[in-house]
Amino acid sequence: MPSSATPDDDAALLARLRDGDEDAFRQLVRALHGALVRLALAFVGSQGAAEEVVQDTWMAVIAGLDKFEGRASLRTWTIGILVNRAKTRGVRDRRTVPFAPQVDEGDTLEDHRFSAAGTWSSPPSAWDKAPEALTLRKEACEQIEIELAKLPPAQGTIVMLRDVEGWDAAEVCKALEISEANQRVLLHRGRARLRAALEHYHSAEGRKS
Amino acid sequence: MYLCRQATRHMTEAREGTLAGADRMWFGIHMVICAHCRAYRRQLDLTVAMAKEVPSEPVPDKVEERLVEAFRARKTPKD
Repeated sequence: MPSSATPDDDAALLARLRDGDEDAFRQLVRALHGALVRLALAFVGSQGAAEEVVQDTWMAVIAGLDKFEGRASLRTWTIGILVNRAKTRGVRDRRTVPFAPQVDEGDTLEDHRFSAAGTWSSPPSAWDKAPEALTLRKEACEQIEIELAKLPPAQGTIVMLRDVEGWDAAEVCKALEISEANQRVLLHRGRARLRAALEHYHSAEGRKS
Repeated sequence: MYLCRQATRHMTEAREGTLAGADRMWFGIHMVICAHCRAYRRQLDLTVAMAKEVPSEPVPDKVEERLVEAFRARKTPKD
């Protein structure tokens, strides 16, 4: 269920769920479960706590189906339930959420690669044009997964939700209660780190062969 | 002067369509004249495309079955 599901799709899915259609329920769970765990992890302290919060959320969705008024989409409603529960759990576990406002200047990964004037002193290598770039693509995708897990938590959460789960910027800002600018800076830093990691990976592979 | 450092910082904003005003104009001009920044943008685009290929964490079978069971047990208003 992409975030672009139309209200009609949503009404049809809701009707099927209210009818007790298990396939419809599986479809909803499969579309959102991974993203919900990811999102919960931004608020709570451990994978186990995140999974508990997500399961509680699904129970609340099941219990609330008949009362759900359809003012928001099913997806938005479910995410809202998750965020409320994850926040409560996070407070209980005394967890601080790592989404401090980001300053838009300095502290980007590439700073050391520019001259004092601000032009590239160490330009990006053309790794994406190298003949082996395509054959390495599968490995590089695996490399991205490894690097994603290494990103600072706020950047990792946002890159996962935006790029892996395909959420749009507005949805991420609302769920994490951060500003559009803050979201964008974190997204940029996370993606820039991944790009740098791929560059590094390709140059290391190049040296091997 | 609008140079590579600013252009790289504006890449995501440009991609998101939120870059506006003079920055947007300078970014556009810079991308025409700077091959290094074009390479950087191309690589950032490729990085995003590859991140989109990373599979979402699947629902563990046991969890899915437990949830479906709870869904089955739900009382419909007609009951």
